[in-house]
Amino acid sequence: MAGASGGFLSGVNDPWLKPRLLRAVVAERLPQPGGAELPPVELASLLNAVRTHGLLTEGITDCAPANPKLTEAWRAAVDSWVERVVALVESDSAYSCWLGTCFLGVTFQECSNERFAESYSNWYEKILSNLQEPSSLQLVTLISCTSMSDLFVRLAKFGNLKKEASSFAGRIVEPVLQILNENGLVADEAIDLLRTIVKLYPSSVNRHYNKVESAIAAKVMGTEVNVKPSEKFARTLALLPSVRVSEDSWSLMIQRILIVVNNLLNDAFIGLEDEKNGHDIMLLLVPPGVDPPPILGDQIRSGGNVHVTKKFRICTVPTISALMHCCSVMLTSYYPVQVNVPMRALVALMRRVLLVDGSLHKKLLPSTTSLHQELICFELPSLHSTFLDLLNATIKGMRSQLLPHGASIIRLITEYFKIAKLPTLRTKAYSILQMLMTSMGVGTALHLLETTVSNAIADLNDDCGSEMAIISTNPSKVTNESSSKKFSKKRKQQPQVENSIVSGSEKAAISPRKRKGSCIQYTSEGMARENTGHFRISTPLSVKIAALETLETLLNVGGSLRADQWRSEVDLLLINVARSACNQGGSYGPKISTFGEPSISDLQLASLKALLASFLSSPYARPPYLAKGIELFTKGKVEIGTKLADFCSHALRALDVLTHPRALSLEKAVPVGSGLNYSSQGKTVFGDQPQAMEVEDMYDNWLTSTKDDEPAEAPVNVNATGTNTVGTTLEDRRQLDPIAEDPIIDPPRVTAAAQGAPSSSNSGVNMVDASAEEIAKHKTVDNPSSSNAVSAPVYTTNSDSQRHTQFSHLENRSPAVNVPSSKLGTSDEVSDVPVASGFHQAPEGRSTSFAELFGSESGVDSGSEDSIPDIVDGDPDSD
Amino acid sequence: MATPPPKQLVLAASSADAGVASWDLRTGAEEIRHRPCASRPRALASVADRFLAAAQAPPSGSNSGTVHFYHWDKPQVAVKSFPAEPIRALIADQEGSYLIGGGSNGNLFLWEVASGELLHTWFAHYRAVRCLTLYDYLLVSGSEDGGIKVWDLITVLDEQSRLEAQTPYLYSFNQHALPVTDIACFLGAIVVSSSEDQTCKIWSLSEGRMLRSISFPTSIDSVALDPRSHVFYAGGRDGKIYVTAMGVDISSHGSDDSSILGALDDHSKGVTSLASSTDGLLLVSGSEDGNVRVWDTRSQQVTRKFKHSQGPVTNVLIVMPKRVNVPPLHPLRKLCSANGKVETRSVILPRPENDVPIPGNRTSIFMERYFDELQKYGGSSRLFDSGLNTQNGTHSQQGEWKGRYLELQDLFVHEVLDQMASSRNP
Repeated sequence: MAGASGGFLSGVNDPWLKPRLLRAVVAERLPQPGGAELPPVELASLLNAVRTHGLLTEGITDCAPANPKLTEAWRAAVDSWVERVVALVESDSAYSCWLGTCFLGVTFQECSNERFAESYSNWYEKILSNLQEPSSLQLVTLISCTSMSDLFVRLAKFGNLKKEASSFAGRIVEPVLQILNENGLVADEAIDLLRTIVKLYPSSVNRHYNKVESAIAAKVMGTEVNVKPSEKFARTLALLPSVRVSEDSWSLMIQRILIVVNNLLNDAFIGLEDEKNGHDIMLLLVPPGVDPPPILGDQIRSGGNVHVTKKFRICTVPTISALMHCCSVMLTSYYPVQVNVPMRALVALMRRVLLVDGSLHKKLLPSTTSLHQELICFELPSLHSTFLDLLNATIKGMRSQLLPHGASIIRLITEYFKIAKLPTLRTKAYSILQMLMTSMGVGTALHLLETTVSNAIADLNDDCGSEMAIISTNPSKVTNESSSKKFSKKRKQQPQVENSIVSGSEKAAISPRKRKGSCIQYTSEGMARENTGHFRISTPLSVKIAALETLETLLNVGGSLRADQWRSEVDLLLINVARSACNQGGSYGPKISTFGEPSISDLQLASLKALLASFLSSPYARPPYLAKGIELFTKGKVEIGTKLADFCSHALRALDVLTHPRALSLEKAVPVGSGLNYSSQGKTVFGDQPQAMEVEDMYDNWLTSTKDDEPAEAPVNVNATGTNTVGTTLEDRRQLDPIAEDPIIDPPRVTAAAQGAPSSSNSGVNMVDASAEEIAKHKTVDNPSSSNAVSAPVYTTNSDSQRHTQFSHLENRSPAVNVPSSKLGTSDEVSDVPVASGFHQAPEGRSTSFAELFGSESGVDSGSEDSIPDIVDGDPDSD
Repeated sequence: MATPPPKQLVLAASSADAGVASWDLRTGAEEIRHRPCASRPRALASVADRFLAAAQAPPSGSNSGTVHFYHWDKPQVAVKSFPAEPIRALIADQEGSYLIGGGSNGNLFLWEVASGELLHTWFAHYRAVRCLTLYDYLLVSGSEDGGIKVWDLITVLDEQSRLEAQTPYLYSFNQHALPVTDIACFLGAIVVSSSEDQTCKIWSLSEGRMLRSISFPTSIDSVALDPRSHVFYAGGRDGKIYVTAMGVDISSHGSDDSSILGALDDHSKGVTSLASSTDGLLLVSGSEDGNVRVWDTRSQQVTRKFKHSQGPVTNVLIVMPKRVNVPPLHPLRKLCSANGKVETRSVILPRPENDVPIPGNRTSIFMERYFDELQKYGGSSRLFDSGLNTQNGTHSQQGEWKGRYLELQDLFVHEVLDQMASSRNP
């Protein structure tokens, strides 16, 4: 061993390096007690050296034969380090003491188990004396709290030292409380230490329970702390029931908190709500005939001499938020025994706060002043935010237990959406929708469908994400304000569609077209438009992202739920938002991003995620905007190294099932949706179509021409011919148009796939082409008149005529496909009959016998398939 | 030291009083037998694998049923409950918060497990409820009258929603001509029902309609889904288990092949109950001949055969018992408490995974931040000079230093602490 004698080392991994380095550090770099201040750079590098090289670990792992000389040398080096650090701690110089305590804290973390077990009591006393000495500098007290906390965290890993550790923890409580009560500036670190102790050694706090509780309650409910530390206090308060673990102590704590908050609200909401509310909640919390529990923070009369207006702002609201934060923590964190939650009171309290919108209650009390109202309205957002967090925590904590209260929470959040206009609140409200839908599943989606869809559409459907975001206070008005003269006629009907979710299939059929008129318009010339004096307000990105995420959740949870009512509109919206988001991201120009705000790339990601969900959950055999979506995903995939690229490659993989219409053998997983959904769709479609046509004629003519003569895939062909930007806009419109007719498109597509699959010589590309042509043909057959009016009056451009010719070309070709496809179309019902040819090779021996047995009965089956309208009648919603 | 894989048990109950037998699925060894228990089909439920609940067939002549709870490790009944009418079908939700029973008079009962409270009971079918299943919180009930109804439990449990809803149920399906014997549901809100009318029908809950109907040569008494959801197994009264395709292979249109792909056959008497393992490799069937068979679904062979009793096996389950401390079980109440005013006991179970660890190495984090900050403000800390002077200085100086100190303190420390907080809880 060369390193032993002080010669050359064998390299950076030579175990002798460490004792030598440590010796050098102690001898040359660590100051003597009372020594001069070191520059922070030097200290930082010292700390770094100790931690990077693990100088204090004394762990010789990769040195196979135990080398007593090395061990000895290292131990001596660490001994000298510890000696010096302790000397620093004991020094009279405040700086040395501070520095010593810092390095002692580092030693707790880094030193070997043996050394820690040997000397922890000694170290504990050193730091304790720091804490107890009232004259010591605040910084020293602060670092003492921190390193003491580290000591206990390390100590907790020694199971055999539990008893000693517990008694140490007990001894520290009093000094910490004293610091907490006297010294506002280090209260933050002191409460951290207290929290560590309560968490790790709850029994040691038992003796001091009342003192601890009142000290924390005083801090939480007092006036002098600002919001941030009081969150820490709230977390510690939430931990207190674990000092005396029992079902009751937990419930009692939450009960007392709710009572305090309820009482505070009584004063605050005078005149703004039914004054019975507070009383009712109190009855739920403390049933008649039961003794009320001691009031939390009884002796605290905070802000007694502060003016009433100031008191509300600096005292009431922070106290409420801290206490509610405490509740949230209690609801979501681990408690060793099963506990009861006063759910009714909790829900009632949330309802009480969230539904106060600042308007005066019917009976205007004389005690309410406009000043008071103004004051409440000023603080209302922060109150709402707090209670939304609480609602979030409740859903998270209660899980399935929420079910009996599910309906009331759903009602609450639905009503709240009408109040929530501020971006932060709206974002939070959306996250609660997501939470509800994921936690309680498809049933919740049924209830939240309307709220989600109507609000998300209102939020997303302005200009599809402008960078010049101006905060919107009333998203539902946005589209109205932004309407340009050109579209004003059509826009008149828009609010109905947005505010009340499409109630019938006619509306679903109209709205996409109108919407697209505006949307595409803005994406193509949005910037120019904004400069033309129309003062536009758009929804902030954070709200849009939240809306997209909520739609994604909805699609995932209940994508095919009552699909005819909302899917077409949402699918169209999502492709539009995704396209415009991706266009914006790629454009040059100044991108303004506010710190802490989501950027346009977040919007891109959220919109693509929602788009994928829309594709994968499509109730139709092939989602309508698949081609455009794949284009976006393919583009996004190129952005190597971004989340977007990761997601896009994932999305393309996920879409594999849809893009390759191969006949999966039944041995592999058959996607349930695509295999089962196509039957009998023709029926509903034929019912819808005439309605859709009529209504469109009523509203506007100029788009009708291009409406349904082009299938979703067709623009792929057109793009191949090369088009300019305006042309793209037009195509977009056309491509996005046929949404109302999608159900029509689907059955032929399936048959196309069915046709393509058996003849294995067909490549995938050919199949797509074939289906596109067929659809085109189908359309022309269905609406022979519509394709003639292609020449739209507004945009008579080069590409338009190009497209037109392209299209007529398609038409010309289509008769060739006509014959087989019409056959296939009629065979639609036939294919409803359960068939399994992909599988019947394998177990043929078995299955043939059954086939023979039931040959006749499968005929009966197909008959029963025809009776599907009866089943639909059974659906209460179709009544 | 790898922990042994959790033990999987096959449970079986019979309509004859032969108790609930259990066998280790891996070794085949018979384990504890819970007695007494005589259950009709679909009346055995594992409550989130925490304990076992079994509705008892009423003794002949009597019209009162009981529900038994058993702890995993004790053979005797832990708690007996006496519901208002004999329970034919019993299920628990995934988290074991609720038990739902279907009565022989066509009523449904929803109990909260933690308190035993009857949260709600409602009239569902004209005749006995034979089978139940849950998809999220959509309850699907199948009845002896051939009807299938889908209930949204959120609506069912809330008075106001009940009043607002047009119908008490979400959907009502009447395509089955004879009693519905079993229901299973799977991903994508797909439900498969079997019936004595010799068909199985596939339903979509999100669309609220029947997707397909498949005919069999015999009455089907039970269905189980392969977890990969491409096939399901239908246990026939002729002793065969039919392997049936869920979807239709679109490439084979025109041919009138049946969806029945094959059958597992061990020449037993009627197959009364089926359970599929979570990996889809094993299928457990209970038969009227009193045997429980474990099938390898790939080779389609019986790999184990357990003798339960002479009487017909009516229920089989595959469970992974969780031997946790179950809070004391409460008997299920017979009636809803007065005016529904009672506070439901919403409980939070201990969830160790929610435990947030106390962060260690605070000191180093603090130091790193602190040094960074100090460097920003001129390289060296004056705090300690000031601190020393404070101790030694005159009163006026002290005040001045103190002010300066506090200012710096605010500047440094709180910035540091804020950053620490944000770095710790991102």
